[in-house]
Amino acid sequence: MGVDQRHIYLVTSAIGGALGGLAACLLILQYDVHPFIGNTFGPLIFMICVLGGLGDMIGGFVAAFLMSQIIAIGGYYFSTELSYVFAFTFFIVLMFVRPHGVLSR
Amino acid sequence: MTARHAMLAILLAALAAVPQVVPPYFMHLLIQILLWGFVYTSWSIMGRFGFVSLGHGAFMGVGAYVPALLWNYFGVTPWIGIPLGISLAVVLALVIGYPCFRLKVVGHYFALVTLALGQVVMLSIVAARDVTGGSLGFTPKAVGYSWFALQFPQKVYFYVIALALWFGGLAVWYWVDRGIGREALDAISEDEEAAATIGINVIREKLRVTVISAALTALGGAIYGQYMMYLNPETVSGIAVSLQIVFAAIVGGTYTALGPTVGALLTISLNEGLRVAFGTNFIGAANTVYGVLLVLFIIFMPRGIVGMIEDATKRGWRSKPL
Repeated sequence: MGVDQRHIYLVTSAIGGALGGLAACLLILQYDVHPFIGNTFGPLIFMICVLGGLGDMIGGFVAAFLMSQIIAIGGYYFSTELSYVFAFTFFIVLMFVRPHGVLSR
Repeated sequence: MTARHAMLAILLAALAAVPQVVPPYFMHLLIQILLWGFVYTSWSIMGRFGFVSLGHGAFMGVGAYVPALLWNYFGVTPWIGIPLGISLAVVLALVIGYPCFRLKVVGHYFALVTLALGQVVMLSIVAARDVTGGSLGFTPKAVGYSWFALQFPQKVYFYVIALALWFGGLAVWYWVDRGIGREALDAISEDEEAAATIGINVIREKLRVTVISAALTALGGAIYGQYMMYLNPETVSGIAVSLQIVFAAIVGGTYTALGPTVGALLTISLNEGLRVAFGTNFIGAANTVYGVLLVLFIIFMPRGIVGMIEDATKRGWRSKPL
């Protein structure tokens, strides 16, 4: 069909990287900067994407909202580590119940 | 055949002579390489069939912490504690594995579920800081030379234990490789649906290999804890360890018996060598070089070092014609 695969991959990964960088800039308004900041968000971001359903933007928003609420509320009532334990357990359970994203049918 | 036997005899003699001639620092490295090689081999037992687990840190953490906790708080000997730790790791593997395989959570999704499992175990250890010491780590009570506590200040004992473990790991690898399950697992990794239609019990085969892999990893974690006499949630479980396992096994070669061991040899000696070479001049430079080398290895040798050597010798060191 005349689609330049390499070009498309390059452009999409460039856009992805740019948006990731922009998101990090915005996060810095609230968090402090340290060399390991990527590690604290990396796995969580990937999980939220899969939880929302890959390529599903609305699902991504819903998943991000759910995960961040679990972490925030769990952190308030218990401890930060336990809230992450809840969030990851929630992710595992939801992967079994809705493997193609929270909003999938 | 006789040449092979002679080579084996020479190898064994060399391995037996090692503690006599090698200085303690290199003994320490060698023990670490053997222990990690064992853990990486355990991972590759399931990794080579395409069940990429990013959560083996969970099994290792459970295997390391359970005997140490039992020893410190109840004085239970590791001879009982280690089997208990392995059992708990196996239960964990079943709890995660069964629904995963039942509901056909495969590929990236399986990797992510196991990644979450690794984080859950690590964060649980950190959260239970009253018992486990949290991020500060945990030190088993030292009693000096003792078979009861499985603690030996001399490195020779752990060298022999690590060597035995490593050989055991390779033996299990061959056992899985030669067993009947091998064909079934190969079929499953190609196409699950097709494998199921020809009468393979997909769930049972997958669970079996997962349980073997998890149990061996837990054993490796336990012995690692006994050797190091210090456990830290970051160094025995969690995402860092899980990824370290996966990277090293892939760099060495996931599909060959010796691949993961070569991965351990390469990653540990590279890490130590760079650390010594750079010293305190460029703190962090060693890790950067290490990371770049890992990326290059994975891009240019997707089948790993041992895999590439095997390919090359089969083709007479010529590159593949297009």
